[in-house]
Amino acid sequence: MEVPLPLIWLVKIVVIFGGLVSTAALMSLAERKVSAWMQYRIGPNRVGPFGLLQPLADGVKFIFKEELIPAGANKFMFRLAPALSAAPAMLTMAVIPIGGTVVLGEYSIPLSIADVDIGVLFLLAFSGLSIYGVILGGWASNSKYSLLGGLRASAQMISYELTLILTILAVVALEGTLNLRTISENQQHVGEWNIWTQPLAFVLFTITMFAETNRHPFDFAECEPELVGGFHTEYSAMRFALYFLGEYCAMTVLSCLNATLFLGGPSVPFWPEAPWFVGIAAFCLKAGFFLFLFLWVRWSLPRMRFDQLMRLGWKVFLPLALANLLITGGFIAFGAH
Amino acid sequence: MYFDYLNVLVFILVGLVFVFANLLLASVIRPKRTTEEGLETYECGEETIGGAWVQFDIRYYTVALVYVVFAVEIAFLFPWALVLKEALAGTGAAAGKGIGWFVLVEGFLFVVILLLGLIYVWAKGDLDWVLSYSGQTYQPKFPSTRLDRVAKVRDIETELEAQREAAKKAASATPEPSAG
Repeated sequence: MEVPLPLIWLVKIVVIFGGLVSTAALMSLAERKVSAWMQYRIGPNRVGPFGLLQPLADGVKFIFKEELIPAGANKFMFRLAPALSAAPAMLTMAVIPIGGTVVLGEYSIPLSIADVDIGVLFLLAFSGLSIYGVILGGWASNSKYSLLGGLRASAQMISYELTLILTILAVVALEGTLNLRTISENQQHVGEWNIWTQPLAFVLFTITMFAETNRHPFDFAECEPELVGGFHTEYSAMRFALYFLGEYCAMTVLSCLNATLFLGGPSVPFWPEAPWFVGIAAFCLKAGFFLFLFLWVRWSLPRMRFDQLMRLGWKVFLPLALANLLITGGFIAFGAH
Repeated sequence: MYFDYLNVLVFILVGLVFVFANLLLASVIRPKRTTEEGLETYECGEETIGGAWVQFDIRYYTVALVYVVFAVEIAFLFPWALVLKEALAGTGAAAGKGIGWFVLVEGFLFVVILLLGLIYVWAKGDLDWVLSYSGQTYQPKFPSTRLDRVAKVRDIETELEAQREAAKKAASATPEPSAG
């Protein structure tokens, strides 16, 4: 039977989107599991086998919860902000290649939603948009905690975005392309992974991931002992859930990006001709490692202080990232001659 | 190529539909039993004092300006990084032009000039969070019309400590009235 091409692409879009959202939902379960293992802080984890249906139960609860909008809030912005935060975080997944190419009958299907030459730019542009949701939500709540949380989030995001982009630029200079699929295909063998040529960029990128997603130890935008809930203090029910979905999606996408840029994406070590499903499994393992790292760090390290965060970003990471870019340029020059 | 962008568009639509369908579903199903207390702004159980829309010193104003400078720098560095390899190897569009070293040095100069700018801002103290225990406080060389900089926490604490010492000394100097 002839299967039309657009149908295959639609299936792919739905599968990748569903995978992203379920990963984000399962991360909320994983967070409780890891906190229980590491600190004996047991959260709700009883629905379904191994608690696997807990995210679903949480979702149902969020839908049935009453929503409170403070009387003093800017209602329109208050309602819009969570969607503004969640949607861009999900959309960045569109350019990340989760596997090689599948040959299905007469079609050869690349395992990414879009194979565009401006992949890196698209991803950075959209991930930069989610901050608007956070700062608008913080401002529109008309609550002091929310305002402080939103301002902190924006200060933190702009400080660390520079480092994030500069480390990616070093990889781009090395590969000579902005296409994420080409970047991951250039790292077929384990010896070609960019982590060997860009170790400093890898370390900087990995730490910056935590700051960009407002995660522990950099979670000043929502740090409980100081700001109650930070920018989402006044949020409840579905809109609160959207903020969290956005945060977990951003974590997932950045983990995938890290795996693509530095760990060869779907390449399997010592097995360059691995079939496509092994490639996808390898990709999920690599991204899953970074997702676990998020939780591991959260339950191991104490929170920093805000001036320490700004000092680290501007006085350590930014000069290091700039120096790394210059050194990379020098190495390319020596390699070419 | 355009087919890929079409896919991105469909993906964006799927994402937006997911987000807004959830919001719509919740708004239809959820109960609405609003009470007066529920509409108050949360301030840890205290009665709310004033709104949050007040004039407020966002400490990182200069930092935001520096960010804009560097963001523009990075926007210029993207094309540079993209062509650097081809230009140095003399392949692609740069074949036979011999512009490799020129491109490299130009990029270096660009980054170094902005690095100097960063060092200037750093030395001036604008990257410091104002109330910090460590680091030198920036003292302007010329009298400025602005208010004096906020004293550091350590200075305030030293002053308070000195006052407390003085008060203690004054108290011990005066003989206590005996009860007998």
